Amino acid sequence: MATLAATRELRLIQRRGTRALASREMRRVLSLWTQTLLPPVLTGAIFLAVFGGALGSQLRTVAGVEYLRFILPGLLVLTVAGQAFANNSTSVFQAKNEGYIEDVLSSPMRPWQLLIAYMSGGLLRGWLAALVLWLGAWPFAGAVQSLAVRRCGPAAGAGGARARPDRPHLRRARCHHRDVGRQL
Amino acid sequence: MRSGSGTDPAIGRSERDSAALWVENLDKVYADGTHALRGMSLHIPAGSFFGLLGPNGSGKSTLIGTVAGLVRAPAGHVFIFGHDVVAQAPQARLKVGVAPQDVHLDRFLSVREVLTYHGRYFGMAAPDVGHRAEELLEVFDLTGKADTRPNRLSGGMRRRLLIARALMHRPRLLVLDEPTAGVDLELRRELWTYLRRLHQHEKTTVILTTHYLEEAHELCERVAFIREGQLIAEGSVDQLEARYGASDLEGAYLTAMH
Repeated sequence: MATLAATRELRLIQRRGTRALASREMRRVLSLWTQTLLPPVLTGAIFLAVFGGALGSQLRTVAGVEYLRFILPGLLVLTVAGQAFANNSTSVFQAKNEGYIEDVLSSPMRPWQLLIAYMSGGLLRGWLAALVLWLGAWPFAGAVQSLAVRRCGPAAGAGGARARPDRPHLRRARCHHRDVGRQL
Repeated sequence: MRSGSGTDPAIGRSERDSAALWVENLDKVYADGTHALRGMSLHIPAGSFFGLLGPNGSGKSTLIGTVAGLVRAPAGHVFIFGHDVVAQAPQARLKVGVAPQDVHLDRFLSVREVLTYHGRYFGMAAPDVGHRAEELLEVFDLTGKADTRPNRLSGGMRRRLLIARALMHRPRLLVLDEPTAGVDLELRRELWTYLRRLHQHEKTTVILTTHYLEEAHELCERVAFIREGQLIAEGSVDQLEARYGASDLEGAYLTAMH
């Protein structure tokens, strides 16, 4: 009984530690927004301006989809993945290089809890940067549909077509992706 | 490092469990071939003020790193109040506070936050964290700098903050790795007074490494000499002086090291 209570107490301690480290990581992202959020948004905006504006004016559409709307989902996913990776690696490297990671490593948290806490900062940075980019692109590209996520196939296509009979170009774009993939 | 489940049955379990630190045959070789610890064995009873003395590179910091869970030794056992630092790492870590030799403080946090975040990493409840942080800021004369970033503090203040951080979660074993290096005489004496009070009133076990032999003489009830990763002598200051035929601790230390 005493062992069970001690185990529960330890788990509570470890959960508190994990929450504290996660909040530290998220606070770091928000307080350093000029270094963590602004650069990826500007980079994404430049990508959109160059590819969507200059190249898009030549291509106009890809598989029936306006070029800007075609590249935006990929750009958003790239922003989430790239910024999450950059944030976590920078934060851990800084902590290790400056030595203050020892305070965290000598705490009672489990390794997987440290991992989750460090990931939370990256997730926040990735999603926030992508959200700002998406909102900034909305007036030009409109609401972006999930081109990349939906499966391309007879069932998915039929389902997608039934769900959005007003947007057959989305299905065409999905099938275009599939065909390109097969060729590659 | 092996877990504690398969320890030598000859080891008195109750003695081991009651000791603040029980180190048995600890061995550590770094990747570059440096043999930092060679079968180190050390038993420090709970409630004692213990000094570790040895030249640079003798293995003191490696031993402390092993106790803090930052260095993993391939052979040997370390128990903190009966908890194996490998098999029961979270339980063992809760009982230890370490003030490392080098001052490493999170530069994204203020002085107060360095303490509160440390307390939260060690699972302290929110109201307790605030009270304890204010108490330590007061004790270490850092209240006026509570909202300052650590990189804007003087060297002495950073050193004080490091010790305050180690004490934040009320550890039963406090490990101080050269805590007064680079600290002026006045502050050093203040730290001595605080450490004495902590040891006497709160019964905290203190392990101190230092190159100031007068500091060890002033504070430590027992002292160990370490050389090339091995314990070469251990006892009270008087016992060590008698053993090496010296008139003071410095004489005993110099004789032991040569």
